[in-house]
Amino acid sequence: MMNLYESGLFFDEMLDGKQPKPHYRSFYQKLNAFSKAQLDEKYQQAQSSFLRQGITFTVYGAQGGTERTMPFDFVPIIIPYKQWEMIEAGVKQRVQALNCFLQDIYDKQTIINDGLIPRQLIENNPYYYYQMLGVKVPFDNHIFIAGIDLIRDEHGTYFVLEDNLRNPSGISYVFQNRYVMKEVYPEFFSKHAIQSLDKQMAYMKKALLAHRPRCLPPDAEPRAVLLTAGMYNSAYYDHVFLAQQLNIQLVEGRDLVVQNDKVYKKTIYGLEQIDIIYRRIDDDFLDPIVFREDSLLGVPHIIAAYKAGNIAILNAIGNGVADDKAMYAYVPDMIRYYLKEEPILQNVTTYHLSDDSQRTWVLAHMKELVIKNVSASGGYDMLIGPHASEDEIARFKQKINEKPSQYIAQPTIKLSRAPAFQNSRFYPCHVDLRVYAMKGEDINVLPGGLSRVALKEGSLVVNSSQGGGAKDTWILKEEWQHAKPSSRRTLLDGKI
Amino acid sequence: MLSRVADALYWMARYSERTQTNAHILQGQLLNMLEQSGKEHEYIDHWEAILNICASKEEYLSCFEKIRVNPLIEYLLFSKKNCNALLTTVSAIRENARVTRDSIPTELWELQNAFYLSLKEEIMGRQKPIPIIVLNSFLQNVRKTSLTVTGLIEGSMDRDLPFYFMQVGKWMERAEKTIRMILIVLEQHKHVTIPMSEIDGAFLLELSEATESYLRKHHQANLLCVIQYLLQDKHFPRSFMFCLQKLEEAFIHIEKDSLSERFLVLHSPLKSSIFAMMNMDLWNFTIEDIILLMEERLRQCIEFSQTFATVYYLNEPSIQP
Repeated sequence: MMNLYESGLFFDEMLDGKQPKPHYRSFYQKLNAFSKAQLDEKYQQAQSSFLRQGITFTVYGAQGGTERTMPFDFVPIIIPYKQWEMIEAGVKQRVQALNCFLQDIYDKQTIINDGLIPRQLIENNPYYYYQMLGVKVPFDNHIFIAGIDLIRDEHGTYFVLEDNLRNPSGISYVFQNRYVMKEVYPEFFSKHAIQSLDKQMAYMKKALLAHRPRCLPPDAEPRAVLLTAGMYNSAYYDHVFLAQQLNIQLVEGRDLVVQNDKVYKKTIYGLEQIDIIYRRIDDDFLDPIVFREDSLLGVPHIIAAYKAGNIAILNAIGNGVADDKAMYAYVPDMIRYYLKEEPILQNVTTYHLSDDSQRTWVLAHMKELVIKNVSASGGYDMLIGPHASEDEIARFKQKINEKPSQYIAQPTIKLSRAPAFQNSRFYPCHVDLRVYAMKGEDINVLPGGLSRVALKEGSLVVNSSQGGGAKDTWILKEEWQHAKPSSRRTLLDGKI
Repeated sequence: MLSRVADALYWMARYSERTQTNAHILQGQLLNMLEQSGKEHEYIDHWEAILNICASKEEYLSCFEKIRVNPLIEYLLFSKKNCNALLTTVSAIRENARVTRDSIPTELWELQNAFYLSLKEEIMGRQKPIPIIVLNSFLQNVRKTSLTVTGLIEGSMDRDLPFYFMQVGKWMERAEKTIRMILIVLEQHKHVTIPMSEIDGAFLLELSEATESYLRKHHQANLLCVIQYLLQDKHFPRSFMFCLQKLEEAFIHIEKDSLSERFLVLHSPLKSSIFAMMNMDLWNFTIEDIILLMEERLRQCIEFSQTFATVYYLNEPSIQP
């Protein structure tokens, strides 16, 4: 048997001590059949496949951005069906509640009036747009795609780390990871029945087209586009992939024009009206007339067309108020308030630093906590207490005292790990999982999602811009969860 | 189709064509150079003509004092000061392919992307000057990639708008380049007293990749016959006439309605060009006459591409070097 490492203090996705967990056994057996040279060769083949296809993201830097591929690691995260059922239900519940919240705070504001969430927290939030108050969105749905980030602690319990309701990226990687995995490591797929991703794009397209703008005649077929910031955007590949798969046109702001509150795209034969925009640029850049006037990415007067009900914009404008790190702490309350249910997925305990007593406690326990800027993402402006120097702690204390409402604190969680194969060896790396939910008339959760892995040894930051990589995520079909080694069936990606 | 996408496809095809032609010209000259001595008049004359065909002598001389081989190769292949340098056009092809990924075959994008990455890795990392053997194999590679690209486009793309916009870019570039080659070669012989029918046309044939095809059909390779061939032959894919016919074909497919205003605006000048070219008798012309004629054609080509851009709103900013 191949000796990977010992799982140790952390919860390991694959190993129990030195032995594989039951749902990883057949994978482990296959793994043992490979020589190191074969694994190295496959590793190179997989990485170059991403590069050849131009599946890159851009790391913004001093020299205008560098293109990189996200490192791919072939050891998948395998999730047994029962466990996935719980995640799926939890994500649906959360997205449902968050959507009710968004609908409420841009309309009747009952949750504020009932005193459940402090009014100040919403009204002072930079992502709360007064311009959107009272604006009707198609079937009251603000969230077309959500990316819910999950982590596991040392006991293997799942926690929600973050909700992404603005422009969650990475779906293309889920599909590409699976594609490369099938191409380069077909051996692993035999004896595993995995939930397929085949139908997901059809669900997504259905959800997209369900967002008919108010003024579109009932018999008219909606015309949708995907609005990208352009090829220098870090997630450009994601945009290209989705536009291709959804069979909608990929447009930039300069391709669109608003006339008489209607939005048109500029084609070779003249202007053509459009009805639905799946936008992948931030609110602030959408309309230079209403938001940032220096924005070159957006379309002047598009908000007027939105308010007039001539165009649907997905995800809806102003979603940022709900996925803010400060609002996160209230999501379990939202679930209880709107759905009258107990949350299925747990939150990580979160301390609000604008609260005097919580701040005093946090400032005294910085070494044990993670401090995050509520507006930052991608691992920026955060302090990981146990790894921080005295200087860094002092600097963060100062930042907190200057702008307490800008920061939250959370206990450090012993993030789960999984084996990764890089530079010809296996070693344990911390992982998290971004689960995608698509909401049209109903909610569909993509089976699996993007497993992100902190490939720098010992690092806790899984973000791709900070050296993180990705893994394929397998959701096992229940009946084949423990496929017997003697089985002669060949199962390829869940199809017999 | 979005105007911006149409524009990017058009330019991608133009740069592709430019890259392929320039690579061919440079490769040929590098090999010829090996058996010539530095003092031979023709050898420097050829470099000068090539500089004018692939870039601009004036622009080059604003950066360098005189024409010397190594700086010239560097200028034509890699210099950032030259907007037609091979590296620049390859990069423009890749960037245009990238913004039109959803309109072109995936394999086409992958091919262009892989080629660009290999160029950056294998060539740009090398110490200069790059040995001729390496340059030769690199240029060969450029040409092979171009041929594969052509095959991929022909064999796998729907005969639809993206295809025909690429066709327009390709044939427009080729038509312009053929005229430019004839013009530059003629200008070099402007002060020669012997008649054109006694000047050797081999260099022009070589520049235009026509040697093989021409010699199969004709025995005499004098400059006049060669020019006639490059302008009027209906079957040689690099002749001006062939390019015009292909452009006509593409417009018919893009517009479909032969009475539409757009079609008429584009088709009328094209039709009269074809007619004029068919009825032109070069034997009665002097070198100066043909030079004037070629200058006129070149101007028409440029005007024509501007009309095309205006008709299809291709004036959005696009990725060009």
